[in-house]
Amino acid sequence: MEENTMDDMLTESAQAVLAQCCTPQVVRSVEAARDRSAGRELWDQLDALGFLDALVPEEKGGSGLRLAATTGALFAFGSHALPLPAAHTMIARELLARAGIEAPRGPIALALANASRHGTAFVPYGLVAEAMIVETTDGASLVSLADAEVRGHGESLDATVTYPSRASRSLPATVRGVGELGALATAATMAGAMQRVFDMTLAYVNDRQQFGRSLGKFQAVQQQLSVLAEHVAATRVAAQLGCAGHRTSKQRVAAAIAKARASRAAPLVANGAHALVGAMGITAEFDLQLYTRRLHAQRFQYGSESYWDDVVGTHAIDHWSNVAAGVVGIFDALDEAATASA
Amino acid sequence: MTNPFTLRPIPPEDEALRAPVRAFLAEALKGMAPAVRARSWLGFDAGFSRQLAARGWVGLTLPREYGGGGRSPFARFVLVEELLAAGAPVSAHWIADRQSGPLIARYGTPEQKAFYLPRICKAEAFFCIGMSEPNAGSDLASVRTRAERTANGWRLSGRKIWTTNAPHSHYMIALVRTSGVPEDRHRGLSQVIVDLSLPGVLIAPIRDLTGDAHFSEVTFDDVELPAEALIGSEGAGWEQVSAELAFERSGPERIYSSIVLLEEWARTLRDAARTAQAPVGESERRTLGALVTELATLRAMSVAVTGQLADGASPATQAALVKDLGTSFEQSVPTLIGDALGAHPQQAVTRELADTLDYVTQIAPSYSLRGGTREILRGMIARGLGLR
Repeated sequence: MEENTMDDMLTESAQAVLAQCCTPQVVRSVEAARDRSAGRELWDQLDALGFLDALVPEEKGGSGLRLAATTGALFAFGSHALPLPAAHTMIARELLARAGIEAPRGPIALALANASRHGTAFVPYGLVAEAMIVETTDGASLVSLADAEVRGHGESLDATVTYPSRASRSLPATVRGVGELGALATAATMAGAMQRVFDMTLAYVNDRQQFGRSLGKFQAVQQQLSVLAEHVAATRVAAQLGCAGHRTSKQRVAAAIAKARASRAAPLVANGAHALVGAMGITAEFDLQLYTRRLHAQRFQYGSESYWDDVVGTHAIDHWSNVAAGVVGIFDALDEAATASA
Repeated sequence: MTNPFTLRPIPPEDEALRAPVRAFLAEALKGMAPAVRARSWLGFDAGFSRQLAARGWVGLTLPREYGGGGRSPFARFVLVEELLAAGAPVSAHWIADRQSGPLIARYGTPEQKAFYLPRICKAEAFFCIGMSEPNAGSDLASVRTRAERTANGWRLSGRKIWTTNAPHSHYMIALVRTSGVPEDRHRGLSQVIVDLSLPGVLIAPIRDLTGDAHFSEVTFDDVELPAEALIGSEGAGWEQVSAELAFERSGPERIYSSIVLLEEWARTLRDAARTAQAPVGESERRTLGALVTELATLRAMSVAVTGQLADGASPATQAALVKDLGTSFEQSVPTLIGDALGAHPQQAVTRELADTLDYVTQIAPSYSLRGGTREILRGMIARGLGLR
């Protein structure tokens, strides 16, 4: 089946299950629980539908897809503020399956650190993960979070994890690219979240009446929304490009572009939405904050725009003889992927 | 917006056009200074346009029966992208290829198509756009140039301004009032093809701040036009011009206007990295990376819009969105490169880079004026969002 067709089917399936099982109330309850076992019912449903094994090779019991076929599902994770690291686990399960290591069945986080066997790492979704793959310059390890010290960050699900060497297991050298894959998964979910933030803002300005007409009738408001729409669309397309690069020779640079673009857009979209939704948007009760808080946090995760800009710029200086041809060359990933899946 | 952006690969048969175009350009543009190439689709060279035409690269999407290539929007995307990326002087045939030809192919009579399209494809007929007037810019519907019916056709009087390439063009497709008064707005407007060699046409070039004179003021002093000068339907000028502007806004020229400058600067960074005389700093690498990131994103958006065109859709809102974002990128290139170079005031800049930076910096404000200002485009996006 073509990746696009598969993508459409998975998107529909993800949207259906999340609309029912990942409501704002569920998101709030998982965030409030601050507990590793929170949200397991939702987790089991995603697992039962096969999302979490989507990237695992077919001979290892998965669907053998690339992220290009799951881009829409990742957008849906973001647009429902899924409070669990589903995209990260998809990647982790694939990496572990390829290394011939059985993956724990619960949520698996992805992290970067200075020392692989023991140390301290900042871990997105660390509060709700059972394990993590942590990557350093000298290799990757699988760490059981039950045996680690996990400290939460503010109201988020992210954590600082201190892990002893007895909690970590060295992974083969084939497990690599955790940083760029984590960045890519994050960029795609951010694109979904931005679309939701935009839709909520658009609905609000159409509804809210001031000076005798809806806010959306004011030209200044229209122009601000148009700019937000541009950044949301740009982030979406950059994430599509990034996912198309998955498991091709362009993976790192395509992921870098996706994350740099998403990170650059995040504060613009989040702050722009809050500017238009006014004081209502600042309340805990209004759902906007479920998305904007996470967008700000995700902006730094696995590298901010400065980090990935540096990766892209260095790549362009070291490997390209021409910028335009280099950029066109990244899109070869779409053909490479098409050839591989044919 | 009903149609979200979806990236897809360019079909292999269209992508196959890239290699021969690149090879041709590498030869044809050898030795041309970057500051000259930076003029790109403002750079006029009729001989160059005819060389392209000889290879079948003008009118690529026009029907085969009229001398066109009969190719898809993706094929034109590949061709145009390579021309722009190289800074080829494409201005002579640019307007005809991009919008006048497609407009005639869509709305013209069989006679008009048979007359104009083969000439366009041979790069023998160059066109300019007659939209703006001294008192009608963004408010295009307020045009005052009139075409009055006569026994044999039309009598044209009025003025057009900011007309790119007018002195070098054979024809202008002008938006004019054929009935009513300016207060009637969109009603009573039509498009006419004006042979610029006719008596009563006066073209006065206007020098711009870079010293070039690519645009002009064109005066029509009772110009007698034949009846067949009317293109499309009388009174349908507004719909036609909107369709024409969608062609004008959807192409990759809205992301590559500063590319020659970016290439020139990137080349100095590569040279510095290779010779290791002055290592490339983190700030330069980040700036280059940020520009590449935005260019790649815009290209993905532009490919997505091309896909919608290829599907027969009319992605006017999406095109406006890409143009607004694209011109922001194009304008950021000279700003960021100027800052990066100025961060090392003790380091000499090559003449080529300095000239290119000067030119692009000075002309950059025009990027978000031509083809619709930011405010107009954002208004269109807002309309697409259902806000107006």
